[in-house]
Amino acid sequence: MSVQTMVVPALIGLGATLAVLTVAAAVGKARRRATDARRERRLAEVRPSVLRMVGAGGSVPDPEGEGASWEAVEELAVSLLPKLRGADRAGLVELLERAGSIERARRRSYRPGAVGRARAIELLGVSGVPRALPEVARGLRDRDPGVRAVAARALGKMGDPGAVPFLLRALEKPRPIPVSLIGMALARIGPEASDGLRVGLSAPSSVSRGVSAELLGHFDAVAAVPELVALLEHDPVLGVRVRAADALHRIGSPHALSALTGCLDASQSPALRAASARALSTVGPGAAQDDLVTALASGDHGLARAAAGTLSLGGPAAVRRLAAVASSAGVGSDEAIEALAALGHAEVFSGVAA
Amino acid sequence: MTGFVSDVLVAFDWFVLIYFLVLNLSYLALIGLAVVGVTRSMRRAAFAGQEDVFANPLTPGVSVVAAAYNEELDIVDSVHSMLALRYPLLEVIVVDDGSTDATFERLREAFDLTPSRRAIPSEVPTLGRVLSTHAAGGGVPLLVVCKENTGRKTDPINVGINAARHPLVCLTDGDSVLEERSLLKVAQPFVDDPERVVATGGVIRPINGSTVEQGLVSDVRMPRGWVARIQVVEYLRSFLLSRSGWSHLGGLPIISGAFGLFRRDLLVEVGGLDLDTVGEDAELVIRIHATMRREERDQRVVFVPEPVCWTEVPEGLRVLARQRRRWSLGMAEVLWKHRRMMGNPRNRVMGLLTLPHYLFFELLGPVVELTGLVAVAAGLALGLIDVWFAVLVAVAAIGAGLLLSIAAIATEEYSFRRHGRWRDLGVALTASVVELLGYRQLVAFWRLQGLADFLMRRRSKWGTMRRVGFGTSPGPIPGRRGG
Repeated sequence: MSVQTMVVPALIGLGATLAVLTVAAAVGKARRRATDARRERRLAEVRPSVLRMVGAGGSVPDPEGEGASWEAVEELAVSLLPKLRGADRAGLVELLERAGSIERARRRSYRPGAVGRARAIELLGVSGVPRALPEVARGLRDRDPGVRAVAARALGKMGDPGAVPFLLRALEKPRPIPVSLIGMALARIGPEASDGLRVGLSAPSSVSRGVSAELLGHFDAVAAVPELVALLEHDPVLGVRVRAADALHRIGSPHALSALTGCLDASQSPALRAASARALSTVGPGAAQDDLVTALASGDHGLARAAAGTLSLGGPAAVRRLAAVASSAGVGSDEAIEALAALGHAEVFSGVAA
Repeated sequence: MTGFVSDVLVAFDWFVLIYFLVLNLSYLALIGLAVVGVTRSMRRAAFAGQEDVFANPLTPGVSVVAAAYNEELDIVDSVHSMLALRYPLLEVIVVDDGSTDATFERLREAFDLTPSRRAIPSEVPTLGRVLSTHAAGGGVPLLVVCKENTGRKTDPINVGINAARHPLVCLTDGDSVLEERSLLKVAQPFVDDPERVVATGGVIRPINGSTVEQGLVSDVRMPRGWVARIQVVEYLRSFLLSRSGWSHLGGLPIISGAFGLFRRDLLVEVGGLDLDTVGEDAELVIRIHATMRREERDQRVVFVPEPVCWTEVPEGLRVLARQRRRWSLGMAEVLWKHRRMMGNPRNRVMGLLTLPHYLFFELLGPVVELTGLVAVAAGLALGLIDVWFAVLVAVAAIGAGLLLSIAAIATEEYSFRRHGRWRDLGVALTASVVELLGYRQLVAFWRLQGLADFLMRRRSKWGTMRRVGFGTSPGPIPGRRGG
C-alpha cells in the first residue's frame, strides 16, 4: 500500500470529523437554547399556582387540575423549599406528600440511573421528611460520586442530628466524600450536631477529628472543651492540634488556659504556637506574657503577629511590654508596631516607636 | 553529492511528516482526556454547590495579590473586580511597583487610602524596598503596598506573597477582570481535599470586545479585530483542551500568572516566584512539582476547566510578536532550568511526558514547522516530492490544525457557552480557518525568534501594551467577613 493510498482515506476521515464537529457545535448551541427555553416555559406555567399556594398560607390546590407539569412543580419545590419556613414550607411539603412525590422519591432513590437517584435524594433532603433518613444516608455510600455529594447536602438540609455519625464516616475510604460537603452538611445541622461531633473527636481518621474540632469551635460548644484540650495536648497529627487550638480560641473557655500556655513552649511547632497565642486572646488575655514576648521575638512572622495581637489585648502591662519591643527595633518590632497601630496608638505614626 | 542532498531532503521530509503525525496524535489524546475532564467537571458542578463553599465555615481565607505598574487606566476597575469576588474571607493586596503614572493616585482617590503600619516579613526573596503601605477606608479589605521598581515583574508579586495573611494566595494581574465566582471555583479543590491540593488554576479568556460593568464582565462578545479573534480560539484551545488534558494526567505544567491560587506555606517553602525567569508562572508550577516529587509528597496541582479570568490580549501584530517571542524565551528558560527532571521516572508524568512534550512539540515545533516548509518547497522544486502528495500532506496539516480549534469550540458550546450569539460561533469558526493562513506561520516565526533569543542569551524586555481600558464606572463594594 502506497503512502498516498493511506493519506487519502485519512483525509476523508479528517474532513468528515471536521464536518461532524462543526455541526455538533451548532446543534449543541441550538439544542441548549431550545432546552433552556422549554424549561423556562414550563416553570413559568406552574410558578403562579405554586406561589399562590405558598401565599395562601398552606391551602393546597391541585396542580394537576391547573394543567401544570408535575415534574416542573417538583423542580420548583426543590428550589423553593430551602427558602421557606413555617406554614408555607409545611404546605408545600404536604402538597408533595399528597401527590405521592415523597414516596416516589424514596423508591426512585434505588433506581439504576445516577441522575434519577440524585434528583430523588435531593427532593427527600429539601422536604426534610424524617422517615426518608435511611434512603438519604444510604446515598452516602452510592457508587456514583455525584449521588454521594447530593446525599451529603441533603442530610445537611434535613437537619437531623442522627445523621452526624453517617456524615463523619463518609469522610473515610473506600468512597470518601469531599470534606467541604461533609463540613457544610454538619454546619447546616447546627449546634444540635455537637454531641455527634464530640464522638468524632476520637475517630480514627485525622480528617474526622479535625472537622469535628473545627465545627465544635464554630458552635461554641463549651461542653466539648475537655475533649478539645485533650486533642490539643495529645493528638499525633499537628494539623488536628492546630484546629483544636482554633476551636478553643472561638469558645474562649478559661479551662483551656493551662494547655494553651503549654503549647507556647519553644519546643512546639510555630503553627501550633501561633494558634495557641491567638487562642489566648479570648481564653486569658493578659496571661502568659513572658511566653508571648518570647514568641514575639521568635523570628517567625505568623507566630510573632499572633503573640503581638494577644499582648495588645492583655491590658496596660502587656501593652507596655509590647511598646518596649516596638521601640527596640529588634526582632518582632514590626509586628509589635502593627499591633499598637491597630489599637490606635498615635505614637506609632509619629515615629516614637520607629 | 546531489544524490546525498536528495537523500537528506527526502529523509527530512519524512521526518517532518512523522513528527506532525506524532504531534497531532498527542494532541488528539489530550483532546480525549480534556473532554473527559470537562465532562466530569460539568457533571460535578451540577452537584458541587459553590454557594456551599461560600457559606462553609471550613473554607480557608484568600489573599488576592496583584502587581501593578503604570496601570492608571484599568487599575480601579481591576481592583473593583477583585473586591467584588464572591468569597467569604478575602483581602486584596495591590503592589504598586514604582509606577511613574497616576496608578497610586487613582487608587487613593477611589478607595480612600490612608497610611498603615503593616508588618511585611521577608519570607520569600525580594529585591525592591517597600516604601509604604496603605489601607483602604470604610472597612474595605484592600492593602496597597508601594515599592521600588527593580524591572522584575515577579518582585512585586513576591512582596505581595510576603504581605499576604491568609492561608491561600491568589496571584493575578493588575489588568485582569475576574468572574464573580472565580475564587469559589478555584478554591473548591482546596476545601474538598485540604491535605493534598497545593495549587489550582482556571481558564483565562480574552476580554477584548466584551463589556465590563462594576468590575465584572457583563456582556461577552467577540473582539472586532481578527488578531484578537484568533487569540480567542487560541486561548480556548490552550486552556480548554491542553491544560485540562495535562491536568487529567497529573502533569499540569503551568497555572497562568493571570489567575492562580496557591497555598501560602508552599509558596514560602519553594521561595516564591523566580526573580530571573521570564516564564515565571510555568517555572513556579514546575518547581512545585519538583518539590512534591523530591519530598515524595502526595500533593496535587489541579486545573479547574471553568472560565475564571478575563484579560486584554494584543490587538496589533507588533505587541503580539513581542509577547510570543517572550513566551518562547520563557519556555526555553524554564525547560533548561528544569532539564534534570526530564526523563526521570521519579517526576512521573511531569518528567516522562509533559516536559518532553513541551520540549519537542512546543519549543522546537516552530523549528520543525518552518524548516519543514522550506524543505518541502525545496523538494518540490527539485522534483523529489510528488506535487499531489505534498498537497495532500498540506491539506492534512491544515485539517489537523482545524480539528483542534473546532474541537475546542464544540467543547465550549457543550460546556460553558460564554459566547451566546450565533454570530460569535460563526466568527470563532472563521477565525479557526483564518489562523492557518499566515497567522500561525507568523507566530511560529516569532517563537523561533524567542528560541534564538534564549540561545544567544538575549534578555527579553517587558514591553507596554496600548490598553483601551474597560471604561466603566465603579460600583459599590460589597461588605466582607474580614480582611
